[in-house]
Amino acid sequence: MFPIKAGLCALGLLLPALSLAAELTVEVRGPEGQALEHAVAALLSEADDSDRPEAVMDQRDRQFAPYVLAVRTNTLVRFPNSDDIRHHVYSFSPAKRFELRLYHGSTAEPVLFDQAGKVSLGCNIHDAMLGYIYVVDSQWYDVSDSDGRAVLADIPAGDYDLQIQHPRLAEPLVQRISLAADDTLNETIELEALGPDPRAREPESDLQRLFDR
Amino acid sequence: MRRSYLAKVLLSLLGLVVLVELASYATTRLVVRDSVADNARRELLRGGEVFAQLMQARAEQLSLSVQVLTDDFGFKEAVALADEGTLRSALENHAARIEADIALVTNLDGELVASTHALAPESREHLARRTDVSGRASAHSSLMIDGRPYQFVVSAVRAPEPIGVAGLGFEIDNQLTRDLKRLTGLDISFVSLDAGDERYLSGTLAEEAREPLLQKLREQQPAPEQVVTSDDTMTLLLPVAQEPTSMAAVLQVPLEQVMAPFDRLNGQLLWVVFGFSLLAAALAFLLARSVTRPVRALADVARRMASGYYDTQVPVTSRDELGELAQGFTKMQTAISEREQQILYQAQHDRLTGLVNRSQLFPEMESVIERAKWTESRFALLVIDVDNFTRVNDALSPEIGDQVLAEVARRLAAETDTDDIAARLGSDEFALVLWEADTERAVSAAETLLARFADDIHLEDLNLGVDLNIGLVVYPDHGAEPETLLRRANLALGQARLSQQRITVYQAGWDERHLRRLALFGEFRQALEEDQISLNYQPKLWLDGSGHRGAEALVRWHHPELGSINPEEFVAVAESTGQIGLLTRWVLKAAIKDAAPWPDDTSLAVNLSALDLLDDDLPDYIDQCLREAGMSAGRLCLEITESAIMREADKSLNNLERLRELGLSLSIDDFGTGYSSLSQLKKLPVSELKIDKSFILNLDRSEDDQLIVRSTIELGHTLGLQITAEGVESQAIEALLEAYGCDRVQGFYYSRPVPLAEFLEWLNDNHRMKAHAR
Repeated sequence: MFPIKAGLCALGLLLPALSLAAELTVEVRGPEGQALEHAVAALLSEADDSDRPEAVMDQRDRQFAPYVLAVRTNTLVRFPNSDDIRHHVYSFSPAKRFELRLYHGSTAEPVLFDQAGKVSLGCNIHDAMLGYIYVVDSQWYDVSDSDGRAVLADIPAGDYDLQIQHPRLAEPLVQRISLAADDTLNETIELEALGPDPRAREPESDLQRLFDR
Repeated sequence: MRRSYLAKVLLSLLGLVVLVELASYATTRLVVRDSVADNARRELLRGGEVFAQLMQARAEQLSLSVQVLTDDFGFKEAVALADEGTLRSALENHAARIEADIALVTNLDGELVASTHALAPESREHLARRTDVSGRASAHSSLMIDGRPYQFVVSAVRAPEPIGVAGLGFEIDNQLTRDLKRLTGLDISFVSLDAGDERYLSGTLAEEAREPLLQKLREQQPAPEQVVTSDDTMTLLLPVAQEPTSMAAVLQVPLEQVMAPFDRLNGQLLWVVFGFSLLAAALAFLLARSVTRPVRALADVARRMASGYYDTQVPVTSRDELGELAQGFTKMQTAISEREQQILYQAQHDRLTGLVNRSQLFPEMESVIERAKWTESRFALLVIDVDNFTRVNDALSPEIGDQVLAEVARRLAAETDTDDIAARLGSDEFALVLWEADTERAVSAAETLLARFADDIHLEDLNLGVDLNIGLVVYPDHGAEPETLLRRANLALGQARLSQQRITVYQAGWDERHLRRLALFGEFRQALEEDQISLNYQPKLWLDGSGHRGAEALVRWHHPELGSINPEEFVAVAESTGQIGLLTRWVLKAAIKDAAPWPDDTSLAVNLSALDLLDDDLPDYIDQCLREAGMSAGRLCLEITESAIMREADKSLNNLERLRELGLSLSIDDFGTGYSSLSQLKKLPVSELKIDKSFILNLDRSEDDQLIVRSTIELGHTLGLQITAEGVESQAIEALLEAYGCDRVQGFYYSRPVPLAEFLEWLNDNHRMKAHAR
C-alpha cells in the first residue's frame, strides 16, 4: 500500500520524462535457492521532502510485529504495545539510537527515523524480542513475503541501484539495475554468505557452553 | 622327654601363631597397601573431580557474572557507544565485584575496545581468536594471557544483536591451588606443557619440588586423566588448555603421605605379632606343663607301682583325659594290688586245701626261726603223710583222694594255734609248725592229732579210715635251717613209715647217713667201673653129712675215701636210685664166673632185691651167664628177703616160676622178719628158708628163739623146704640146730665173708675139717 502511494506521489516529479512507469518484482533467495522472507529490497533514490506517513512497529506476544519494517528516511514510527505488559524498546544502532522506557499501550511518542540504515530493536526487559527497521533512501521499496517476493511498482524507466538488506546479511547488497518504460521486470537475487538467523537461540545448555572450550 | 614335649608344643604353637600372624600380616599388608593405594588413587580421581567442579564453579561464576555484565543495559549502551573510558571503569567496577582478575571488551571483530589490563599485542591477537561467540551466550576457556594462566569467560553483548564481546577471567594463581589443596588434600600444580618451554605456573608444590615435576613430565609425558604411580608419588594430569600454549593441572599425592598410616599399622601389626607370639609361648608353656606335670606325676605313680606300692595317691584331679588316665591309674593300682594279693595267695597257698604251700613254707619257717632266735624259744616241725594214700587214690578216684586231702588239711588246720603254721608239701604230705613246743609237747600234740584221725572221714556214702605217719623235729635241737629241719623231719617220717611207729622223732645221725647215701648215688656206677666193688663169699655148710658146701656172695664196696661201705646202705641207695638192676647183674655175672670152677658139690647163693623180681629180662640174663660160665643151674641159689617177696609177691610170681624152671633154686632170706603167711609161702616156688640171724645169735640162751627156730624148721620141713640158719657163732648153737634138724648153717663160727682166694682156701681146709669131723 505504501509503495503504491509513494509511487503516486513520485509520479508528478517524474513527469518531464514522460515515460510510463515500470514494475520490478524481486525474488530473494537463499544460498540453497529457498525463498527468503524479511528481505528489504529498495531502489535507491534522491531524498524528497514529501510527507511521510507514520509507520507502526507493533509488539505482540513479546515479539515485534512485523519482524522487519522498511521505512523511508524521515519517517515517524509508532511503537504501540499490544501486549498487556510493559516493554522497554531501545536501539543502539548507529542509524537510530532511541529508548522508549517502560510503556504501555500507545503511550509512546512516535520516533523519527531520519537516517538511512539498519536499526536493531530490542526490549530491555525481554531479551528474546528482536525486530528490525530498515530506513532506506528510496521511494520504491518492499519487504519480501514468505515467497521471498518483494514488488516495486510505478518505477520510471532508468538505471537504479537495487539495494537488498536482510537481518542475516551483514552488509547491504547493492546491484545496478536498468528499468525500461512499462517494464515488468522479475529480478531474482540470490544471497550468499548468510549469517545465522539472529532470532534463533542456541539450544545448547549452559553446562555445554561452559565446557565447550 | 618332658622338655622335648614342651619344645614340641612350643614349637608347633609358636610356629602356628607366627605363621598365622605372618600370613595375616602379609595379607593385611597387601590388602592395606592395595587399599591405601586404591584409596589414594580414588582420592586423586576425586581430587580431579573436585578440581573440575571447582573450576566449573568458578567458570559458572564467571559465566554468570559476565552475563550479568553483558545484560546490563547501561553496559550495552557503553559498548554500543564504544566509550573506552566508561567501559574500562565499568569493567573495573564489575571485576572488583566478583574479584575477577581481568575484564575486557572487544568488538565483534575481536579488536580490544577496553580492558582492565594493558595487554601485549600477541595476547590481543590470541584473544581476538577466542572471542568468537557467534550467537552463543558465553564461552569458557582457560588460556594464557601475557604469560599468566586464566580461567576466561566471554559473552556476547547483545543489543539485541551482538555488538561486542565482554570477557572476565580469574587468574589461576596460588590462591586457587591453595583452595584446591584445602579441599582435596592434594598437591596441585598448573604447568605449561609447551615442548621445550615447560613452566611451572602456579601450585602448592615447594619450590625445590617444582623442577623435578617438570623434569618428570618431560620424560614421562603421562597420559592425561590417568593416575600414574611412580616411586614416590601418584600423579593425575588434567589438561586445562591447549591454546595458545598447552596447559595442564597436575594433581599429586605423595606416596609417603599415603603410606604413613599404613606404616603406623605396620608397626602395630608387628607388635601384635610379637604379643601373640609371647602369648603363644606362655600358652604353650602352660599347656605343656598342664600335660607334662600330670604325666610326670603319673610316671612317678607308675614307678612306685613297679616297686610294688599300690597305695599312691594319684595327684591329678583335672577332668580331662589326663584325669581319666589318673582315675585309670588309681583303679589299676587297686586291681593290680588285688590281683597281686590273689596271685601271691595262690603262689603261697595250696589250691586244694588252702594251706600254705611248700615254697611258702620256707620263708614262713625262716621268720619263725628268726622269732625263735630272738625269744630263745623252741618250735616243732611235723611232717605228716597219709598212710597208703596212693591206694585210696588208685582204688577209689583222684576226686575222692582230693576230698580226703581236704579233710585231712581241715583237721590239721583245726589243730593249729595262731602262731602255728599248717602247710601242704606235696600230694599227701603236710607239715605243721608248732610254736613253742619241745620234743615232749610236740609228741603229745602229734598224738592228739592221731587221735583226731581215729574217726573215719565221711565222704558222701563212704567212710574212710585214715592213718597218718608223722616225722618230728624240734628247733633248735634238730637243726637251725628250714631245709635241714624239713629234711630231717622227712627222714623221721620215712622212718615212721618203715617202722610203722606212726610218730617218729628224728634221731641224731640219720641225716648224716642219709646225706652219705645221697653222696653215694652219683658214685655208684663209677664204683662198678673202677672195681671198687668186689665180692666176698661166706661159706655155707650142709649138716646132712653129704659134704655139700656153698657160699653166699656178698657185695663189698671199698670206697677210696670212705673206706668200706655197709652193703645194706649202698644196696638201699641202689634200690632207691633204680640202680639195683645194674648191681644185681654185675654181682650175678661176677659170682657165676667165680663159682663156675668150684667143685660140683659147692653151691652159690646170690641175693636178689625185691625190684629184681619185677625185671622180666632177669631170668634170661641169668641163663645166659650160666651158659657163658658153663655152670649148672642147680648150683645156683637166689636169695630173696621175705619182706621183698611179700611186697611184690603177686607181680613177681611169674618171674620166680621162670627162674625155677631154669633149674636153680630160690630161697627166702631173713625169714621171720616179714609177715608172710603160710598160704603165700606154699604158693611160692621156693625150696629154702633162711632163718633170720636175729633168732639164731642168742639161740643157746633164749628159749623163745629156740621155740621159734625149732617150730620154723619143723614148719619148713612140713612144707618140703630146706632150712638154713644164719648167724651161727658157736658150737652150742650149731649143736642145737643140728638137734632141731636144721639142714644148713652159716655164720662166723665157720667163717666170716672172705675174698674169693680165702674162700677157696677154706674149701680145701673144710675138706680136711669135714674129714676130721668124720
